[in-house]
Amino acid sequence: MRIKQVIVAVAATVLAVAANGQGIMGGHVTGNVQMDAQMSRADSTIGAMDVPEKLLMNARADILYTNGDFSAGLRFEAYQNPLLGFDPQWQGQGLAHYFVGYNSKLLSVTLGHFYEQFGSGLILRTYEDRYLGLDNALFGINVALRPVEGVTIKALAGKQRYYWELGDGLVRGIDAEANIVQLVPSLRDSKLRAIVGAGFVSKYEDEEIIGSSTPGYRLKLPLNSGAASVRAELGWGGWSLQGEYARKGQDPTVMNGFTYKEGQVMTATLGYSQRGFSASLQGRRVENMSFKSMRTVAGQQLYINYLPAITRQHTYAFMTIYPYATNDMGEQGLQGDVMWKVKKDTWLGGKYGMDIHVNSAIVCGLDTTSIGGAGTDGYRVNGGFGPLLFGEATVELARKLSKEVKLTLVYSYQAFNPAVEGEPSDLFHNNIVVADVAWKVSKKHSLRFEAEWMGSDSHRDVAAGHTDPRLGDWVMGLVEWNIGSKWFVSVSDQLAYNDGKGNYYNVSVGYTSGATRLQAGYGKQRRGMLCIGGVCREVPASNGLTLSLTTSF
Amino acid sequence: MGLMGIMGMVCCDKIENEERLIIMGDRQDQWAEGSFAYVEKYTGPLCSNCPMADRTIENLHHTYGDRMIVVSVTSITNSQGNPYGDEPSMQLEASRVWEQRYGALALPTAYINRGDKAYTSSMNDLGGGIEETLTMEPAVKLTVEATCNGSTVDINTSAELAFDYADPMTLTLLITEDSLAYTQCDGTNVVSDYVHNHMLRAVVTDSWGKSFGIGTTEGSRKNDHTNYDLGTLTIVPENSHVVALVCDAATHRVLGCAQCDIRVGTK
Repeated sequence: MRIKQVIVAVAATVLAVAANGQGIMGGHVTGNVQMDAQMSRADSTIGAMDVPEKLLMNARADILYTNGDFSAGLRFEAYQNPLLGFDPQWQGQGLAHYFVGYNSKLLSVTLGHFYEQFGSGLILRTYEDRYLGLDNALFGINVALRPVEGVTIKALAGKQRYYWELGDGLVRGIDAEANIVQLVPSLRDSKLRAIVGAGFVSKYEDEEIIGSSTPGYRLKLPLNSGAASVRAELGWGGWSLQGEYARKGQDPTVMNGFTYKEGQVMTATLGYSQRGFSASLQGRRVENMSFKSMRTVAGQQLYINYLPAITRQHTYAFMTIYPYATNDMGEQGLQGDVMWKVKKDTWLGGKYGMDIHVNSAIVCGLDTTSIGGAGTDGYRVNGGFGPLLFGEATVELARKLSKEVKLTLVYSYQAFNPAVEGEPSDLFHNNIVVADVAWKVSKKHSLRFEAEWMGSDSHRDVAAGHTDPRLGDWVMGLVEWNIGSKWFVSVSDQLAYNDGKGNYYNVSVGYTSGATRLQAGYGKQRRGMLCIGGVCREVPASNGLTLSLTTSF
Repeated sequence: MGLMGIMGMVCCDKIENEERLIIMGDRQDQWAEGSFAYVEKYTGPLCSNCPMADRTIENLHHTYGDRMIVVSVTSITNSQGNPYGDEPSMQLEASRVWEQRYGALALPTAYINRGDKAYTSSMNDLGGGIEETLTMEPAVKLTVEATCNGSTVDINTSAELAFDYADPMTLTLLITEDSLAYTQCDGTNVVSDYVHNHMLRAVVTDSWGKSFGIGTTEGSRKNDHTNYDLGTLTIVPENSHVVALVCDAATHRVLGCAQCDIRVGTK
């Protein structure tokens, strides 16, 4: 408690003095503010529930002070009450994040809340995503030492944020990374790029009572659970090869049914790029790699590690209707991606050139045999492929038709296994077509038209219990009108037909002035999943008004 | 790299297979007299993980016996609570207000004594919560008796304050039923004759109960008699129970809980 008070006092004092007159200390104060408000009313046609508070709001303000090697920051958050879909445990307001830091060429030290990542995050990545309602910042001390150019050694210890509290688990970690080319002077002028690294993270939790799958018995738990990783990144000219392997010791948690099997993950990416062309092939295998600092907490909070998505992050509505979510309990997948900028004044590129983007990914479960519940190793891996969890192939063509008009066409085929969301059913096969036309009408006005269609073999069947509002075939239209650089108006509607049910219309108006943006929307939101980077949260149905204000200084 | 390996060996615990199980209930000497754990579990026929939680709860019942009182509530706000086809629904309108207190519910989720902590998924950590709850002396000592006389159930409740408690209280009466067989999603299977226990069949009082002024000082007593008309509700009395809850009127925390079998009387 004393440490918290000292950090807040130092950060607040520095910010207050700095804000009083930036010239006094010579530093900079920057910040941003975001407020999102929502009003929703009951709508039995889409399953929206009444909101007793009438108005819900998530708000936050970040303030950062920097002065040479020194920095300090605060974040105030208010959830009064949290927007629909955010865990009610967010309810409240107060200083959620504060730190003081020192950063020189040799040394970086942060006291307070901090975000950190080792390698690609397979054993440690703390981050926050306001749209997912996720913040797993560590509160403690974080040190990075750079004894020679090209070498970084990081060490940290702390507890993770858990809504308005700290989680029980104590997290300790160390990581070392060396850039071989920087270390060996004779390699500096070569085309070679070589970075190697290794890390180790351990968590400690007190003993607690966890029932086993054998009646009348509880579990003896490992109080310290650790994970280690090794990684390498090699490059030569346009070629690159990245690989990381991580292994986790016994870590029985609610996520794996309190089984004791060790975990592992291996990922490798081969890439090639040159001007106007890039291609990559990525493979990954995950086995029991959920790593959290509290063994009894389900959901997205308190993750120590992060397994990045192995599929493309989509933006068009129907391509995210059945999103891929990383299955950290076990999956194996491949992703290929090719981007080609076809030159202008060629047969394919036409007068203005064309962008071609092809992406395909396939993710399967593991082929396993169950060998018991809590207190056992859980399952045995047979070595083959488990059920298909997600597969997609997407082709995107973007081409200017004239100086004023740009057309983007997308076709995507997706196969989705509803079992990943806990609803066993046959695979859904979806064909999605998108046409997006951007038309610069005049210097001050531009229009964007978007049409989407999704044909799906999923169908609504109340008698069989299939009532997911995403089921069935869908069409969508969107018109967006940008007036100068300040105003925009958009109208959209998503309509289910054939075996689906639902009509979700939305109207939005936005105003931007400098770094300030105000947006208001009215319409219906379908219940579904919002996923960012393979991490998802459920979005409940709503019908009403949304308001959003963002600004920075 | 070597240092990382050494740290891995030093900083991780490994529990061998034969050392993983400890006899449960070994802390009975720490349980308070008359303590109980009321487990309100939210479930649904379309919830594939719910049977896993059911198995955990049955295992815990084996350990805690009558001190653990379970009520299984079929969710009305989560679509996984909907029945299969034209099977009868176990959803009760009264549960809507309970669920709204907890926000968007994932299934399965359970709460002990209507506290804040949500127990989800396999619920293996429920035992820890029960153990902790059983060390706390309940504010209200409660007994309940129920007799079914054909289409009505007579319920007699007696309450006594174990220590001074000044805040208003409510009495909630519930009817639950065991051995109900209907379709349930279980993992990747759909089991047509899955046996459901502790299922909430009726809320005798209002959702949050009726006002129940026992008094405010230790030793205060109050009795309640309620006659409940089953109406169109069909239950097998021999498989059914009455659960009585005395709660804090403002926070809805459970202060006292008791359960009894429904005796079959004469018409």
